[in-house]
Amino acid sequence: MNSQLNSPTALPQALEDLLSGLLDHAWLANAWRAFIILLAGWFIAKLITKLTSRFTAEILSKHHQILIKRSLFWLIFSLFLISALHQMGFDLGVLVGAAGIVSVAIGFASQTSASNLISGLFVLSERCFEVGDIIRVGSSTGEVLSIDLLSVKLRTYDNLFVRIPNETIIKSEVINLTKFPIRRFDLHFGIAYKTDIDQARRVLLQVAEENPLCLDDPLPLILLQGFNSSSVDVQFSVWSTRQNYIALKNSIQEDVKRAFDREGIEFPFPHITFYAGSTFYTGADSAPLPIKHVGDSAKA
Amino acid sequence: MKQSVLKQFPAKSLALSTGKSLLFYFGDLSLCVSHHNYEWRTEYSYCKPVVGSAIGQYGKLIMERYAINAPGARISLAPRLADRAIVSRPLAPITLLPNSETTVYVGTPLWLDLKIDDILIKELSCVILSDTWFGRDTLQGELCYSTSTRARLDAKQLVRDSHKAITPIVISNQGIKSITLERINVPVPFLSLYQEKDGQFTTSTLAIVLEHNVIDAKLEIKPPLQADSLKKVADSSKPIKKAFVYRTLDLLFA
Repeated sequence: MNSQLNSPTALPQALEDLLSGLLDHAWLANAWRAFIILLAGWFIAKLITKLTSRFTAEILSKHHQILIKRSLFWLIFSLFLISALHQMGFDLGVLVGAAGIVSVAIGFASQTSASNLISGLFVLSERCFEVGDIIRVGSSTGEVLSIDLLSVKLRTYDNLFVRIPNETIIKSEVINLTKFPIRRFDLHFGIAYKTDIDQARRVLLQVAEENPLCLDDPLPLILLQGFNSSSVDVQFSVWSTRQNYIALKNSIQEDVKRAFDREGIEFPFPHITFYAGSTFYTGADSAPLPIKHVGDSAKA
Repeated sequence: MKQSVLKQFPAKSLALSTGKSLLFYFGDLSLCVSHHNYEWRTEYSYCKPVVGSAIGQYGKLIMERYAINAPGARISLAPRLADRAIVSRPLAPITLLPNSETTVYVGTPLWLDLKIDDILIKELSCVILSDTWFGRDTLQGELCYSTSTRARLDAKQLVRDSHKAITPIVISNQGIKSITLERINVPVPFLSLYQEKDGQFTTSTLAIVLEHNVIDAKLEIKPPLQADSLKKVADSSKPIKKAFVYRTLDLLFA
């Protein structure tokens, strides 16, 4: 055999054998068939995805449509690809076996990505938020730009880009600030102990009535939260549409401040009253410490 | 600039040449429309108008400019009803006994459509109305305007007000329980606007039949009484759908 290969005519003969194998009509015909199958598969997949997106345009969001289009295209095309490979004479059983081993290896390597992918499917199916909603996840609050297979992208109020893995979304608490049409704003503050609570209540209700952003219904709420060391704590809750929430939050606090100033209602600050006298504090018996100017300090 | 003053809606469109302005008082609204070279301007404010005061002297003045190059432009001012339902709260609740019927007259503020050459450029209400939520809970419902009403039951006691439209609501309680009306959701966009000879505005009549189970109610919108003697000013802004006819009680009253 070695002598045959070493002969001057061996290489051209081998080349000729290879070329004749390549130009074998049966093999060429199979290749053409496979090519035609792939081409047809590409066109059919494109057509089906276009029709699907047309029918789902009104039912699904744009994001869902793109996802379904891509998934459907690759599913259909991969069927035609398998058929084309079978036409070429490849043993698919071997491929399946190899694919199984490769997928195990990939699976170990991409656990996190797979988890994010599956979490993304759950996020999409739950529909607890959509593109355009404002959500809070942990310490990040922002507008949802896209819900992708592996992560959710947000744009924060100060125009920062935040990428949150879908696994984090599934595991943590997600607050959707724009899910419902109306929203309540809670204002917590303290009033001085000497303040007439009925007067404060009247003033607060008047402020709510005069603010055009504040809804008449549900009614504004005034709750006494407790007695603090320097103040009586009050919660003043008013409702607005979600679009007007920020404007209401700003305006209502200004209005409360102005109204309280006008009515003479004090916002207390922490202060301590110190009693001292000849005995330990016993109430009326104690007198404040006398302070007397005794002279200028001696110069050094 | 030469100024004309109007206190009621003009019957036809008015020509306003360059250099002239029109002042229109409508409820709490003071509106000035002026025609300048290549533009029209509107200035308006909401306050109780004081005789002789300049517009915007009381209340925040809002000025807007419109680039319209039409020297012969005509302006028209037309009344219409609100674009949202109005929730009227009677000053005192009314209780309707079982197997009884009554007519409640509710007044709702009017809106004004300002058009230049039939192009709608501004919609203004005669008063600033508060927003309110009306629905079963904070998840389902609709955004409405909020007003208060005397909810008179006697048509002879109605106070004529050219800035409001009177809506007669005929309520028939066929159930076995009494119904207390603390708030009434008047579906204003579904009503047509009419005008009586004396200038008072009125709307279609709302007929509400409370079914036996007192949970469901059937609504019907009828032409006003003595419709022949009334002039129709504006059609309803929304078409009436079948689903509108049957509603649960909590979507009408509260």
